[in-house]
Parts: sequence; structure tokens; C-alpha cells
Amino acid sequence: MRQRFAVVILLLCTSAIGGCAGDELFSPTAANSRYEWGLPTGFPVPVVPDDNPMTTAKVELGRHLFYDRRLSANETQSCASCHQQSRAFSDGRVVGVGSTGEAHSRNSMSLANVGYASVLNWANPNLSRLEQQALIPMFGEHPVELGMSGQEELLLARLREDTVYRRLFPNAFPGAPAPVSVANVTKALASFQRALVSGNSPYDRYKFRNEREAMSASALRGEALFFSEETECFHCHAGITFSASTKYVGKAFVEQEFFNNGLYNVQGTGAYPAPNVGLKEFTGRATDMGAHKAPTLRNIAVTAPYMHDGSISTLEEVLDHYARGGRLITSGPHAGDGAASPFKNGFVKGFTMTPQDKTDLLAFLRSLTDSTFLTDARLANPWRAP
Amino acid sequence: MTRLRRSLAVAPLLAVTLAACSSDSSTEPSGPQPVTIRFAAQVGSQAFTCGTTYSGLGSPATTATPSDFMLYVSNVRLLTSSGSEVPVTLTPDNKFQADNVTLVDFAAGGAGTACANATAETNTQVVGTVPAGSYTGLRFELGLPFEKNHQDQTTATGPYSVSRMFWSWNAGYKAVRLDLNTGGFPTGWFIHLGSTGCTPAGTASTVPTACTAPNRPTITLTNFDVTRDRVIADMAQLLATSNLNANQGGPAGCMSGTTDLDCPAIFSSFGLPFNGGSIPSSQSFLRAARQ
Repeated sequence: MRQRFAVVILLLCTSAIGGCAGDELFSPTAANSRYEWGLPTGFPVPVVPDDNPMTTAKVELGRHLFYDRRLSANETQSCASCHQQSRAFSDGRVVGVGSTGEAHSRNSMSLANVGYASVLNWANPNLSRLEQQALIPMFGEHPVELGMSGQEELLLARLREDTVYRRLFPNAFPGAPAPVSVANVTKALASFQRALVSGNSPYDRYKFRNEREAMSASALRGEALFFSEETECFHCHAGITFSASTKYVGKAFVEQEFFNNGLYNVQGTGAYPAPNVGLKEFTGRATDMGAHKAPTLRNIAVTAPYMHDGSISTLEEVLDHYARGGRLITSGPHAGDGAASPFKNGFVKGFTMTPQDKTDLLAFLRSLTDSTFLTDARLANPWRAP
Repeated sequence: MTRLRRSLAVAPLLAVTLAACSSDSSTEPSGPQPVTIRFAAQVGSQAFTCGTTYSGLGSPATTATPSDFMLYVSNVRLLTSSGSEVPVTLTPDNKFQADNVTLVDFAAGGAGTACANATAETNTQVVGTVPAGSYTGLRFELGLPFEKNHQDQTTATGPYSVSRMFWSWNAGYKAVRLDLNTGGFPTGWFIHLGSTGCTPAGTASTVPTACTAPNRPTITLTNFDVTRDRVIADMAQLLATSNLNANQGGPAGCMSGTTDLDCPAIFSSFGLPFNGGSIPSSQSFLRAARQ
């Protein structure tokens, strides 16, 4: 009974670490002070779990871990191998390739504004915590990414013997008797990812800072088309991240949305090629076939190729796909007309797109590129000599 | 569900309070009294459940399976027998209610359900206070008041923060959202009611100052006993004269555009004029029912 009481006290302390920072448990230091977001004008505050409050020290530790190849068993890859800053933390490949050379079945997602995502990965309704998500690339076996399955002690031993981490872990987790743990690795990685806020694009400067010259006339026409009932783009790409699955402080509802966008209709059955069956993989519901999360469109111009399986190479072709209302594959094992899929979302209905419309939509999408985010030194590899 | 239970607990108390007031005005308690206005969605005489397939809907009759059903109720007033309006002061809950706005959500959804993209939670009541008194009717508007309808949706809170009610093409919100999969349109036939003709031309970064067609129906239920009645939102009545197997322009269904010919029938059910046409004498979507 007394033991349980002690546990409750401890939990209370960890869930409100700021409140405990001043008492005897933890010494107050600059390192565990609350994180200053420095959010772009107009941006809401990202949601942070009570058990992993943001601190400058944790973000800094997370940054070192994110760029550290020792997080892969064979020390060839880090998180940044598939999530490169210059590509808005995506990798430019059709699908991700892990540390052992094994190909993933899906495209590496951009991590820009991932702290605002209400659901993670492409179609996993059970995954909404970045702390939990970090375990997948580290320890997943199907496919192998960083290849650390069964190698927890190896990982922790590598981290414990590094002089940099001997400083960073205790700073990030002050008072913890054994700060180098898998749980704390995931907490730090999650904190760094929550710091990946991108909100300085021409669109943001126009919308939130009233810089009228930031967007061209063509981009503004494209914006109107994007938010029109002709194209219907905004139904799935809604909100501050241009993804309907968004959360932030003050948002009262959990919204996680998944859409079949008519990419496949194998042999007219509505099927998507295995294993990428989308939400159906988790729910078992036939009608969830091919339903995936609408990814953020921020920095979309630098995150080619596109779609959950990287099967569309360019933004121009993505627009053609939506204008047609689905993709026609005329031959091969995946042949079928995605536009006629019985599981396609009703908003992917197709539209008439003139060459000027296409130019304008592209200009709008390119106005979502935040070049400062792609080069921000605070988000770059800390292990490299400056 | 907890909200529903709470409303059932409150209802008998109210009946006593309000009945006592009307029988002897000299003992009328001073100060505001709690009031709960209960809503329920039905399909004709059947209860509404998201993801259930209903038949015999529209004209010609066909099947329809709802995948989401939400609406905003604003500016709620109770009516006295003399017809005067007494505003209900809402009890804010940081979720379904703020200011004079309530989000009513009939569709329980989430991944793993037939309504995967609908929110899990539902709300079928307006909760607030009114001065003690005898009330015989109810009046409210469907949709957000203009001054709330064009706020920045991307950072909104409370009832304004459900992105499924964003209606970004006019920098506003939907007043009513009913998504259907119908016999003729298995991938979607939609009703999205919202303001049109907004200027300056609406995009996500241009805030309108006025809309020529607010499409914000005022609903009056003259015979409504708040202690015993519910407001029934009847999907069958809303669709009664619509051809759910046709798309007569624009997206399948009515998304409120002035050239969308799926809209006249729907607007008529809302009691709204379509594209400058005549104002219907009554609406048929909402009614009072004792239950």
C-alpha cells in the first residue's frame, strides 16, 4: 500500500516536472526549464504528453540521437538516413531502405510539423505517440530499419560510453538514477521531432504576417482552386498542416482520417497491392481498403516521390492523378482503374484542370516550402564540425 | 453517453421547476434555471445510427448509408406563450459548447467502425440556463453566427475545432454536414450546408466581410415543451424530395453552390431559398417530438 502511494507521488512529479523542478527531488537548472517553442506567427501550440514535457535539454539530446548512426545495429544508419532535413525530413526514395538493405513497403514520410499529427505513419490508427512510434524504426523486424531488435543492451552500452551522452542524458533527465534507457531515448527523440515546426513558408508570410508580396498572383489563384468545391483538395488536406489528422492545444476533438484516393483498383476488385492495404490492415474492414492518412503538404515540393508507396514521381503527375479522379493502370499485376474503385473517397471525384490551373496549383503547393526550415542549423546534424 | 445520462437526470428536475413556476408565478424562483434541450437524429420513425443502411429514402426511393452527421446550433431562445424570446445562456464546456454555439454530433465513429472518419464522441444536447418561467416554444439557428463563422479554422478551439466542419472554400464552417453513401453513389452523396456569395472572394487566407447567401436557417418550433420534448433531426425528411441516385451538377449531393441543382430540394427541406428564389413557407428537417 505504501509502495503504491510512493508510485503515485512519483507519477505526479513526472507528469508535472516543472512543478517538481524546484523541490529536493530535482535541482533546478537551465537545462530542464520549459522549452521555448518560438512558434511561427499564427501557429497553435503542439500537444505534449504529460509524461514527457518539452525541455531544451531533451530536444538537444534527441537531436544527437536522431543523427547518430549508433542507433542502428550495424552503425550504418540513423533516423536522419531516411529523414533528411534538406528534404523536409524525407529521403527522396520511392520507399525507405533500412540499415541491412531491406526495402520498406512504404515511402518515408516528412517529419515537418509531426508534433501536430494526430495519428502517425501512413495508416495506423493505434499509433499517436511519437515516443511509441520511435520504437518501430529502431526495433521493427518487418521490415528491418535500424535493426536493433534484441540489441537493447548493445544500444545502451554504446550510448553510456560516449562522453557527449554522459552530459546530455543527465541534463535531459535530471535526477534519474539511470538516465540512459530505451524509454528515455524515445522520449528525447519524440521531443526533437516535436521541435520540427515548419511555418515560415511564403504562404505563412502571406496568411499570418500580411506580407502581400510573399505569394504570386498565380499561387493565390492556386490557393483558391485548392480550397474550391471543384478540386475538393481541402477536405483531406485541412488544417494548419494541410492534413485532416491534426491536433494542437485547444483542439477539442480527436480527428484521425484515412482516405482511399483511387491509386489502385487491382483487377477491378478495389484491392491495393499487398502489404499496403491501408487502414484495412488494422480494422479488417473491407471498406477500409487502401485508406491512408493524407500527409502534410507543407514542403511538399521537396518531398518527392509521392503517395504511400512512392508510386508517383512528380507533383505534376499527382495533380493529373487527382484531376482524373484516380489512376488508370493498363497492364501488369496491378492493372485496374483506380477512378472506379468501390472504396474510393467521394471527394476524389476528378475535375477539369486547364494548363493555367495546373500552373497555379503548382505555384500554390510550392508556396508551402519553408526554406528556412530546410536549412535551420538548430535542426541540423550536431555531430558534424561546423 | 455520459452527457445523455446527465440530461436524463436533469430533465425530471426541470419539469418540476418549470411546472411549479407556471402554476404559481408568485413563488417563481429568482435567478437562472438550468435547461437542457435534447436532440435526436432519426430516419423517419427509426433511430439514426451512423453506418446503418436505410431504405426508402429520397425520390425515387433508394438506400443511403450515413457516414457522418453533425450540425451547429446557435443563438438558442425559448419562446413564451406570448411569443417573446428568452435567450438560453450556454454552459461552456471547452468542447461542444462555447459562446452561443453548440456542436450537435449524431455520428459515433472512428477507425474500426463503419464511420471511420467521424469523431468518436457524440453530443445530442444544448446545456445552459434560462430565467425561470413558462416556455412553450424553441427557436435557434443552424450554423455559426457570422462573427464566428469566418475565424481562423486552423487554430480554433472548442466546438470550432472539428476540421470536418471546416468549409474552407468560403473561409467558413459548414452549418450541417450529412455524408451518405447512396444506392447510386456508393462512394458518396454529400450535404454540406454553408454560406455562399461571400466577399471578398473566400480562400483560406481571405476573410469575408459579408455573404449574399448566409444559408443559416432560423428554426422555430412553436409547440415545444423543453422538459418533455426532443428536437428530432429527420434524415428522411431532409432527403424526401431529393434524387440520391443523381448528381445534377457540382459534386454529388448538395454543397450549397448556386449552380448545384441537387440543392433546391435540400434547401427546401431546410426552409431556405435557393439562389435568390422564393422562401419556402416552412422547413421539414427538424420537428418536436415527445419522448
